[in-house]
Amino acid sequence: MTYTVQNINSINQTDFDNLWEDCKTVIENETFPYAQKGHTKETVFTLINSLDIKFKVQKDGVDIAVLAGNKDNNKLNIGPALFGNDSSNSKSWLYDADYWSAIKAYTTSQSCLGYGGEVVKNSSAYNMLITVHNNSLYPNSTLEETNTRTQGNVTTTTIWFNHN
Amino acid sequence: MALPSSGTLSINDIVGEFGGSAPHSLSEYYRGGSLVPDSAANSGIPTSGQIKISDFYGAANLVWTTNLTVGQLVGKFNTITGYDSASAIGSLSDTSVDFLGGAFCEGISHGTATGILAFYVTGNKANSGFTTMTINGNNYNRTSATYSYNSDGDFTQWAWSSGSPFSGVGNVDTVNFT
Repeated sequence: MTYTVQNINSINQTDFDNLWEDCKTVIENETFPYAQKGHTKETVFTLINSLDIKFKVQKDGVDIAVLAGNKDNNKLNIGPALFGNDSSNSKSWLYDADYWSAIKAYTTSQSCLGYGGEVVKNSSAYNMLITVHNNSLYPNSTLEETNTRTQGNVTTTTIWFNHN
Repeated sequence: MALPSSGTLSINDIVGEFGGSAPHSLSEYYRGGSLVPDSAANSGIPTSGQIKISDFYGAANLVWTTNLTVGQLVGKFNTITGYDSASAIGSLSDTSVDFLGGAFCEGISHGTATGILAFYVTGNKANSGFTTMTINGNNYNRTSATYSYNSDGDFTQWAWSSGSPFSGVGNVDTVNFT
C-alpha cells in the first residue's frame, strides 16, 4: 500500500460530496456535535475550507481522506475530517501502520511535534485513536489525553500523539 | 407587547394590542378569530360566548412566546449558542409551539462556522404560521428565511444568516413570534 499526503488549498463540493457519503452517518450522529441540526455538512465544508492547514490522503491513488486543522503549540490540531472508503470499499486503512507513518511524516513536515485533536469521548473516532495507540500504529509516539470536558450532554477530550 | 396582567384595562388597550376596525366591540376579539392568536398567552380569552375586558389581562398579539435560557457548546473550531435539545444546551420555558399545533421546538440556535441562526421544530410543517421571530430586538422574517424539511431527522427548520442575537450564556432571552 502506498499512501501519499499532500496539502490542498481547498476542497471543492464534488470531492467533498464523494467523501461525505462514506462517512456522513458517523459524523452526523456521533463524532461532530459542533453543528446545528441539518447544518452539519455545510459546517464541516465551511470549516475545512477556512482552516489554515488542509490536506488530503490518497491510498494507491484513491482519495481516502481530507483533514483540516491548525498548528497549536507546535502540534497539528485536527478539526473536521472526512474518512472515505478505499478501492475495496473499506476503511480498514485507518488501522494500517503505513497510513499512520505517512501522517507522522506529514506532521513533521509541518514542523509539528505531535498530532491529534478534540474528539467526542468514547465515539468511534476516539476508540479508533485509542486502538491506534494500543497497537503502536502511530510510530514512536506517546499518547496524551487532555482537556476532557462536558457541555450539555457532550463530553469531549483531546488526544495527542506526541512524537518521541 | 403584552397587555398588563393587572390594573386598569380598557377596550382601547385591547385595540392597541390587536388592532381592529372602528366602531370597536369585544366580539371582534375572540381567541382564534382574525385578530387574536390562539396562543398560550391568550388562553384566558374565550373562543365564543361571553367575553369581558378582564379576559384580556396578560394577552398578547403573539402567536407564540417562550423564554430561552442561553446555553453554549464551545468547540475548538465552532460554537453553538442558544437552545439545542440534541446536545442539551440551554432550555425553553415552553417548547410546545402554539402556531404549529403538536410541534415541539427542538432548537433556536446560532453557529459561528456558518453564521446561521436556526429555528427547528419537530415534524414536517408548512412554511407558514408566523411572520417574524424576535430576539432581543433582532427581527427575523419568515419570508427571508431558508426553509426546509429534513426527512432523515423529521424536523422543519427556518434559518437566517446572522450573528448571534443572544445576550449571554446563562441569561434568559424572550423569543417572540408574531
